[in-house]
Amino acid sequence: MNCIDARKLCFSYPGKIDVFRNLDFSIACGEKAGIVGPNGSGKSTLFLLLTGLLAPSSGRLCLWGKNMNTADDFRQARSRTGYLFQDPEDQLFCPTVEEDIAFALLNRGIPRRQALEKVEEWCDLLKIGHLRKRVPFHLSWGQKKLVALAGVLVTEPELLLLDEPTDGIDSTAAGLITAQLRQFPSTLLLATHDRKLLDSVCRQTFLLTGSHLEQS
Amino acid sequence: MQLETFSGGKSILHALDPRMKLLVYLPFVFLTALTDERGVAAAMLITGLLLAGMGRLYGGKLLERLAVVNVFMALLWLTLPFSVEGETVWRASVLRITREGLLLSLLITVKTNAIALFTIALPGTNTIIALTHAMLHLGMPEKPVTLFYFFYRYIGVVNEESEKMSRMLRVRGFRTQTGIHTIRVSAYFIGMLFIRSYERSERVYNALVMRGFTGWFPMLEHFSLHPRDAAFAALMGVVLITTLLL
Repeated sequence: MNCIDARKLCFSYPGKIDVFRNLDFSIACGEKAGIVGPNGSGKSTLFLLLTGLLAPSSGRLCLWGKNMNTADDFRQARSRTGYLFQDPEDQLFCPTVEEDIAFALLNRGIPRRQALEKVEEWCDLLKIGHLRKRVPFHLSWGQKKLVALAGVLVTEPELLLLDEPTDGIDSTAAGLITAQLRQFPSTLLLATHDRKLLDSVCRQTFLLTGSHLEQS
Repeated sequence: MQLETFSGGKSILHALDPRMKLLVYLPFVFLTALTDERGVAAAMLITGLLLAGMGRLYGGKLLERLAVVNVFMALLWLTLPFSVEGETVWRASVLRITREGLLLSLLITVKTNAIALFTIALPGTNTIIALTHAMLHLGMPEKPVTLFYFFYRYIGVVNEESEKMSRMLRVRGFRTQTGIHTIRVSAYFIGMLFIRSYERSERVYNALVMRGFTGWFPMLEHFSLHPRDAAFAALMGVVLITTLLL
């Protein structure tokens, strides 16, 4: 079964030329795919469309075999999806690092004790345990990136969308992220300019250019 | 941020549980605001000064804050002594100052300064984040508390964008001068600040939606009461009761 199935997807921002024109692509469940493309080609926009945060002008989008027609369809799909935003400052919201990581779990009704155990597990995996009581907004860029990633991975999503996960971070943290993504068991879609990350994580790569997505 | 000027410190007051500080703060503020007794108001002012001392807050910043408060008090002193009926203590032509007017101005000034000191010394010695949590732990309604936190978070967003743009302007050689160029750049600055803050707040909201935010602010436990908190509450309780009895 395909996890993502997009057919003739079109999108344009108001008053601008088309970002996507008749975009066709599919990603099988469990597949790890990368998206590359020049700046402004629409990689982040594609993720916003896949999560229903932007609505396409026309076209059909299926996630896990289900047509995404209503806001409720997308709401359900979002509960199975993890999305790491390009700028971690947009994503961090809570008073402490551990609460930020637990945020999505608590929103999904996971009991606090269980949420804390998960937070501890992911803090250890990403080696950010020493930051647990810190205020997220006071961290360095790389630390913020790791905390934001922990907040996404902790929910164990069935579809993981990552927008430039290694942008602006050091090689040690990049290595940690790469190791985690290689072990990630579900579908993964990665937008990045980091060729090394793509080569070590993704089995297929799409090139997004001129409002089209082509397998490269 | 301006809201957290006094939150950093290593005094006993800073170390106290924010919930306890809020619980102590509210009765003191209500008593001070509602009293007409000059003695009670003076006792509250002294308590406020002692609390500021406990928090090691004496310094330029405290004086700056009190100066802002007292600018409004100065306006009061310019009108109340002349407008309240009572025993005349000074007269010049049609102007006369009454004893009751002076005493009322003094009472309001003392009460206002006492409340300002309580606010700086008790909730002011916490971060906004700790304060938000304390309010939720104390069972205050989630919606206004969440709105309060959103206000703080988005003021932070606007502030960050403003700082980034100011730095960018300085790096590119912009200096404020009297002229059409400065006016034009200032107008662009304000316009861009709104646009950038709006776009950033949209991204923050999208990130919240992606993590299942539904308007409810989930929270993990992280406060713990210590004997010093109980001792502080007891001490403040004694001060409050003694003031009321006297």
